[in-house]
Amino acid sequence: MAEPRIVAFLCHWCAYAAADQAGRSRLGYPHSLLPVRVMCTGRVEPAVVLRAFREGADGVLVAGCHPGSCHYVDGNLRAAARHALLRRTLEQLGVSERRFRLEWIGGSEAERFAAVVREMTESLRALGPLRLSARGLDEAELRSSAGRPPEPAPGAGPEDGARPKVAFYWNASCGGCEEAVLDLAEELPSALGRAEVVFWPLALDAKRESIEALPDGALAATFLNGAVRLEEQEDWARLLRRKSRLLVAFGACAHTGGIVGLGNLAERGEILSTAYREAPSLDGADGPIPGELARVGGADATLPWLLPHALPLSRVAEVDYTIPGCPPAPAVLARALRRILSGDLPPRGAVLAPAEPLCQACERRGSRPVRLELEALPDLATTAPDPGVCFLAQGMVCMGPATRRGCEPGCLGAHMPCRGCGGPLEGVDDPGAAMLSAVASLLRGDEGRLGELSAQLADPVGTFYRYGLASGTAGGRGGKA
Amino acid sequence: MSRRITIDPVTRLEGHGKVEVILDERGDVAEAWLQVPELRGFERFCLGRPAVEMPRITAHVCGVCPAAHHIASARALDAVYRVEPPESAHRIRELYYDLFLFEDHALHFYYLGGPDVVLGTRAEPARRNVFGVMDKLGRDLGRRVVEARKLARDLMGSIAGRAAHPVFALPGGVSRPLGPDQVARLREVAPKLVDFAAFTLDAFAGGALRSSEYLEMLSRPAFRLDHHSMGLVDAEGRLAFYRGTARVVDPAGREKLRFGPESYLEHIAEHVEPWTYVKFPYLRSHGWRGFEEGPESGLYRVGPLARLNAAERMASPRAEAEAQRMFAALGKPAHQTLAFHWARLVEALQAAEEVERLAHHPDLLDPDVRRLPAEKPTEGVGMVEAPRGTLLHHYRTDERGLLTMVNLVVASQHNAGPVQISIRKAAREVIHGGQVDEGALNVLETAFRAYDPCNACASHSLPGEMPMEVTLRGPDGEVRNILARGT
Repeated sequence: MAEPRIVAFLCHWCAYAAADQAGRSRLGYPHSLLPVRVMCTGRVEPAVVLRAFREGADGVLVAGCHPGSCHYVDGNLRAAARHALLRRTLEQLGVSERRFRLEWIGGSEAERFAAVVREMTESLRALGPLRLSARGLDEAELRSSAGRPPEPAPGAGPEDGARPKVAFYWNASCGGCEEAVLDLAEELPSALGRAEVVFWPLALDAKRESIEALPDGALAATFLNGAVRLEEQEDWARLLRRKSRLLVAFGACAHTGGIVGLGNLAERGEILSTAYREAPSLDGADGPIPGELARVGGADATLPWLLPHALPLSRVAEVDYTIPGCPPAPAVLARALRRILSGDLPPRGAVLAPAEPLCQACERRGSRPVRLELEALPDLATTAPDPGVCFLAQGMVCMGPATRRGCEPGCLGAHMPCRGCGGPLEGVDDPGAAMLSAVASLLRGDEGRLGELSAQLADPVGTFYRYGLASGTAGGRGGKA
Repeated sequence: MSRRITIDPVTRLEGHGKVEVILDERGDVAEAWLQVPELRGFERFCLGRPAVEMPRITAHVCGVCPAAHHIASARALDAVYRVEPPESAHRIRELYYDLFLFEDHALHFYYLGGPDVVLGTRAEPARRNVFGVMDKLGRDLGRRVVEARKLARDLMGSIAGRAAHPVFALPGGVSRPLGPDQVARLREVAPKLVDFAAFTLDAFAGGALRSSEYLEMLSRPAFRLDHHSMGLVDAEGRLAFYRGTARVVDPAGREKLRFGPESYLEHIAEHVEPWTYVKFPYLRSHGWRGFEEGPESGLYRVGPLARLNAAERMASPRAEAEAQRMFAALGKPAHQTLAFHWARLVEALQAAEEVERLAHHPDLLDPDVRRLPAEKPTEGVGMVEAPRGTLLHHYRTDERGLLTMVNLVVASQHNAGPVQISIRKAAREVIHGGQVDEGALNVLETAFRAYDPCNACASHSLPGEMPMEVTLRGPDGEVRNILARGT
């Protein structure tokens, strides 16, 4: 294989100096290393590490000053906490811990730097290439590029006195988004205004052919919920994109993959074997496995599980607007429908929900100390949270700081911490990585204690990526790596 | 007969009720199957998650019945952590759950399955929907339906955090007590829910029960299935949704089994067929005997009609009177599949009456609503009655509470075997000489929609829509005809 590619984030004050010295001393170490100088390892965000893997790195090295020698007091300990948490996140995603290393290398330790890089390169060579970006996550993996609307979208407003036509459709979802529409109750007619619902499998009987027969762009707006899990859903997304002047991603699954995206932690074979080989209620562990036999009997008849990963709608079709939430809260939904159908719209691509983080709407906001430090992480299963105090201040992960508001009272109103269904704030690509970084940065203790504390967060992927795994930088678990 | 089952690549649409019919040489029905071409991966991708998160995660199995998964999961967690919630917490969960049962059952009647019985199978598909029902039963009804649903959903949201995917259940109880405003609202709304449920039963009696077509359909052999019935009952043998032991009665109504959640594996096993993702539960005592009905078969039914059959009586007075009226007309146990609709409305009335009773409980404002687990988590089973039948959540964890095994046996699964027989019977009755038409489709559809199979659980679609496709194959397996409706 080609030399493994290592991206190395090196602290300006120590490891970078060591690397420099190693070079000047002509110490032998592999040249496939891409060094990135940072002022402190405490500045290396998990999102950046994930990005490096996504862009093709086989390994990432973070190297900084020995504990006690940080030029910024304890930036290296922040790096240690993030490393501990992110390493376990990566492991859950099938990325070996050997691919992500944290080392303390002083400015005079050129030999040690060279040795670390040599050793890591050997270890990566044994592991083989990672190819995180090749895990079916990229647009290029799909059968064609995202369908574009036939013309610049003029908005969904009334045209020529005719009633605007709208459609509702579902991909891989639970039906909760439909319930959310019904939950608008007597508000629904006014939210729809003059729009005529021409397609909605829940309530109306219409066939796919009736949509295909429409001229392109005939629908003023389509509200499409659910993640894209099957090829068939990809087709629907493209078809509805073509027929609609506005395509609206409706709910968390369409927006970020949602709970359906957690399925990216398992492969089809594992799901089948769990269901038909390991379930304790089976009448035997040697019965048929449905998908496999059906394939044998039916030539090209494969079962509908074709895309390697669940994807958010925007990976398949260009999305004009997004209504976030699992499902969208009634107030958010009613307002978004009104705006879309009356043409009172922000620039394309906007998420139609308040831009502020959920914390701003939280009654516990005043209880969060200015300087938050966590020395323990209580387990919700065995703890009664204080209803008047910020969950994070109590050491319980709450996604509020990284999540859009709009759902209130929602989970917080029920005295439960946020899990992030409202999706990321403006400009944040990977809210899971951001929140992981934030929580790790709050942990206090020496290096050993930081390791213990981060180990108490037993399920980082399920915690930080509950609703956003499919749209996260890593997107899902790959093969063995 | 050729048992060659194929899954037609053209028609693999998520959420399709896909029926395969195999004809014999004369063009009559040799076999018929309903396939569910969708597999939930929840049991797999929940592994490694903290068990305490399961009530919130599994609510997403189904947006129609998230409350059922949420509460079943909470019961499983009580068992996993070996902690018994205080009675106050049980009451709040139960109150919430009764609100949900009321709302879901009422929704089904007006929006989903009701049109079949109110309008009949001969009504054209374009009219067999909620609007058709309202046309027939009166325009004013529309407002009442929307209002009743909203009253119940708003209360559910106020108790559980959100109307759609609840978040309030934890091992040992719930996350917060009720407040005085909530209790006042509950007491104000509860009588309206009772009225609505009673009114709906009357509307049913008026619109469907007096219709000769419904009565004729009730007695049609295609719509009758003699099976065991299973449902939860309380210590006095009354029908229970939230807490109880499973009671199984045979087709003649004799008690055959009674078991608690922890021993479900001793009594229930699942059979796998290669042509569908759904696993078919059956009674271990009888063993798997294929898709056959009768007292020797291990298949059993769950859901409203089966629950009424399995319970000695209802838990509330007006519902009990209505149940007696139903059994007086049909006999007990009742095996007419279309009586599921009737039983569903009787249950909606019990749920509403129970909301009213619980809303007036003197200790409803008790602030102590959670007992904290003190023991290491291990393994536990939660069993509740979802609208569509018995729902089981079975978890095993490591000592940190991370899941190492998850097994879900969902309501629609228990009925999957009986549904196959219903489909076959209906197909044999309406398809002859290779001929099938729209009317036949209606009959087939009606036969399985009565079960209210929750395809959101089984295949992520909604029960009412049920786009369906029937493929007719000759004895050699070649496709003779495909009839499709829906998307």
